Amino acid sequence: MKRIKEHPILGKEEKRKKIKIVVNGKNIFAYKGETIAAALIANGYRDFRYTHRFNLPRGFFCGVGQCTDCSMIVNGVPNIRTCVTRVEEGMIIETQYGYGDKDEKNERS
Amino acid sequence: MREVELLVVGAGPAGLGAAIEASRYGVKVLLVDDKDKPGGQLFKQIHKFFGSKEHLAGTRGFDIGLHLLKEADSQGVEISLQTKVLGIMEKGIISLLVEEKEMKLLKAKRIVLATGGVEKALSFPGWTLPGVMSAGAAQTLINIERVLPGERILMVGSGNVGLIISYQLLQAGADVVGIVEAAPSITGYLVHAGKVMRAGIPIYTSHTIKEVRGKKSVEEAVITTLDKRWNIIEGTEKTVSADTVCISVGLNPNGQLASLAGCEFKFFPELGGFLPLHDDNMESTKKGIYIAGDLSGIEEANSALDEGRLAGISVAASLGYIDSNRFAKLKEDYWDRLNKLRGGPFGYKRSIAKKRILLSSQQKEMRDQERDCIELEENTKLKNYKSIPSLKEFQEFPGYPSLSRIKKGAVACIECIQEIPCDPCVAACPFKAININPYITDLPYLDENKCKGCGVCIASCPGQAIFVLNYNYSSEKAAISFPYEYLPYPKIGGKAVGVNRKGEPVAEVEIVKVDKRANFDKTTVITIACDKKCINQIRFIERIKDDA
Repeated sequence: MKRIKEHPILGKEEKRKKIKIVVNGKNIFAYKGETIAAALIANGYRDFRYTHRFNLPRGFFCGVGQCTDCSMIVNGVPNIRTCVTRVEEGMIIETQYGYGDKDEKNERS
Repeated sequence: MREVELLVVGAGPAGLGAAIEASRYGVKVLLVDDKDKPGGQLFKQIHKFFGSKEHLAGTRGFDIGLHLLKEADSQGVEISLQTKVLGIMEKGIISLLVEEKEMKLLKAKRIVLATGGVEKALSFPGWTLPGVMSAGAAQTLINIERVLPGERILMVGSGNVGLIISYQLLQAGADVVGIVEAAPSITGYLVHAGKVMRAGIPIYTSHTIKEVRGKKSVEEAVITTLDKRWNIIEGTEKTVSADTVCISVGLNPNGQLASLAGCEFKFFPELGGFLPLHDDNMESTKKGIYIAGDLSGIEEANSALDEGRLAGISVAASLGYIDSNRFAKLKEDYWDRLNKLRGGPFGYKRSIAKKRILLSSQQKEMRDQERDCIELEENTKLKNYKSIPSLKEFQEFPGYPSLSRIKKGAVACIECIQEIPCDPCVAACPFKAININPYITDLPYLDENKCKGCGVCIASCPGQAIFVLNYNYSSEKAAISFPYEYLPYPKIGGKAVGVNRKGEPVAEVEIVKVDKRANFDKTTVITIACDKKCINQIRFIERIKDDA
C-alpha cells in the first residue's frame, strides 16, 4: 500500500529516520517510530500470521493491542502484537504459524 | 509502597480532564496509560470538533489533545506511560505493570477509571481475512502512521464514526466505494453524511455486508438489501470490488478494570451496553472509585472531557480540597454543560439513560421508567434521512436565505437542519447574523439582512454545512463558495465539474477563488462561478484526482 506523503490537514510527511528491518528474510525499509504493522502494511504485507487449527490468514484488525490478530514472531519471540510494537533497526520479523513453534512453521511454509 | 492521593487510569480526554481538575485544587495525581503516548484517541481526530466555546469547538481534535497535555503539564500532573493496571485490590492497593516488565504496587486514596471504549466487531463469512479491520484501526493507520490501509475501502456503518473516518480516508487519498448501513436511514449526523455524499460516496441504507472473499486478503465484498425486519432479501446480492472493509458498528464501554474492582454494572443499550453505575459525582458503587468518559457510557470527546473534569473536582472535594459550597456550584456548572451536550434529538436517549443510571445507583425504584419512555417519544422528533434531503426541505429551515435575499447578492446559506450541540458559526460571524438560541443544540438562525456574505463562517463550521451564494457575481454568472479539504487544490481560472449535494454532476464551473487563509485552519474555501440557475443546486466540485 501507499504512504501518505502529503495531507490536506496534516501537511507534508515529516522527515523521519529510515531504518532497515528484516521480514521473512527480506530487507525492507521502515521509519523510526512507526509500528511494525504500519511498516508492513506500507510495504504491501497483509497476512501477518496463520491460525493453528485451520491455517487461515490473520492481519491488522483492532490497531490498539486488544485483538492479537496481528501477532508475529519478532526477534525470535512469538505472539508480539505488531500494532503496538515499534520497529527497531535490524529487527527480524517473521510470519507466525499457529503458536509460533519452529516445527509448525516448517510443516506449513 | 508508593502512595498517591489519586490514580487516574487512562490518558484520553476523560482521564486528562479528571487529572487536570483534581490537580488544579491541590490533589496529588498520578495518571497512567498503557500506551506509549498520552491523549487516547484524540491525536487521530483530525477534524474540527463540535461543541461550544468551553469545549474549544471548531478546533481540530489533535489540537485539543495538545491543549489538554499542556494544561496537564502546567497543573503538575505526573503521567506514567506504558503502565498497565493489572489489579485493583482492597484498601486502594493497585498493581501496575510498567513497560511490560516491571511490577509495582501502589496505594491510592481515590481512583478515577477512564478506560474508554472498545470498538464492536461484526462477524460474517470472511470477517477474519486480512483487510477487514475496525474503522478506528484504519483511522490510526492514516492519521498517525500515515499509511493507507488499502485503496478501495468499503465502510460498514453510517454512524458518526463511520462517516467521519470515511471522509478522512478520502482526505488520505483512498477511494471509499460505499458506506453500508443496516438501518433504513443514516444514523450519524446529516452534516457528516453531506461531506461524503457530495464527494460522491454512496450510502447504502437498509443494506448489510453478507460476505467478504479473498485468498490471503480481501478482494471483494458482497452486500445485500435488508427488509423492514432487517432480514436479508435473497437475490439482492451485489458484489463490490474492495481491498479493505472497515467496521464501524459502535463501541462498548471498556469495563474490565471496573469489573475487577467490584463496581456494580447494569445494561444501558443507549450508552453502549453494560457499564458501571455511578452517582452524580461520577462515583461508582465502590466507594472511592470514580468513572468517566466512554466507560460510563459511549458518547463523544466533549462529554468525556466534562465527565472527567466533574470526577476530578468530586475527588478534590471528597479529599477536602474544595469546600462544599464551591463544589456544589462547580458541579452544577458541569452538569449544566453535560445536559446541554446531551440536548437535542440525538442526545435525548443518552440523557434519559444517564438519569436512569443516577437513579439506580441510588437504589431507587425506577417508577419513572414508563413516564420517561413517553417523554422520550415526545422529545425525540428526530427525522430520519435515507439520503441528503431535497432543496425544498433545506429551504424550510431558518439557516437558508429567502429567494429574494439571494437575488440581492452575497449571503450565507446554512444547511444545518438537525439539532446537534455545536455553535462556532455564531462567534465566527463579525456581523452577528447567525444566532443559536437558547440552547446550543438549537438550529442556527440566519438574520439575512445583517449577513454581508463575507464567508468567514464557512471554515468555522465543523459540519462543513455553510456556503456563500453570490447571485450577482457578474451579469451572467453566480458564485458559490464552499469548504474544501482535499489535495490537490483546484487552480484559479481552471474548470471543474460542479456537483450537487449528492455528488451528482450539475454543470461545468470555473474556479474563481482559492482562499487558504491561516485562520481557516486548513479548511480551504473555494469559490466557483456558475450559471445563475445552479445557485441552489451546486454545493461542491468533483474532487481533482492527482495523477502525478
